[in-house]
Amino acid sequence: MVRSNVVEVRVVAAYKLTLKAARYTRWGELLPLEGVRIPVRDAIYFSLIKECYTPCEVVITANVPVRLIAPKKHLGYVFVEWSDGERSNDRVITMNRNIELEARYAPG
Amino acid sequence: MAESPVKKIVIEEAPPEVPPEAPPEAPPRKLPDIRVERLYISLSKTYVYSGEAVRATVTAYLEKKPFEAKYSLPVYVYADGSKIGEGKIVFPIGSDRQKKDFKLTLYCPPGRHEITYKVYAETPDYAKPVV
Repeated sequence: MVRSNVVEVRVVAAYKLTLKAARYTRWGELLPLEGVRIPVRDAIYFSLIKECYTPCEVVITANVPVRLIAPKKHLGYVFVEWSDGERSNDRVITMNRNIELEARYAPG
Repeated sequence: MAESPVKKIVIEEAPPEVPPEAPPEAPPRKLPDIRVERLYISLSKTYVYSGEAVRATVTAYLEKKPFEAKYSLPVYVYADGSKIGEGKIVFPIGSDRQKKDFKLTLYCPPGRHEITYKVYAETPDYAKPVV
């Protein structure tokens, strides 16, 4: 058999972060909100991982803490909470599993 | 007066001509295999996330160009000794170099943060003619 050269490939564990946004209507319904800018940054070095515009997905190395800053206001809507109940628009999460988060807004 | 001797002419039929036997057909010539001179692999990425696809390009070089037929060569791609891809490279007449792309997906085992794989390709020593 003839063998080729050997190339080393480094494979790192990673998880998917899915970011969405939605707005409450006056009747309490949630409707999707597209185009909300939520930058995804490394929580330690604050370097930008991805400039997200909802809806968006980003793959992040496992166990990396990331900082998400949802805008406090967006086109006449104000930030209320994240879909998991967190009420601060500026938060840090650790990628130890696939995560889906939705930033929720109400009419301002 | 003496009679002149009578010449007896006998006409004999010539024996039928036997057509010469056609020479037996020569057996078809077996085309020789062509030796693989060199094999080279390159990857589109060397740092990937678990489950991310990466493209591997395998280039095979033959010792000489095929002139009478196409030649075929099976190719196998390995990561740390485990086969992760296989295919076939076909050399058209006049070409002693051909490449083939493979889409590979590598995973990080559960519980591990990262792993490094050694990826390489293998082929038989000879390419065979396609009859």
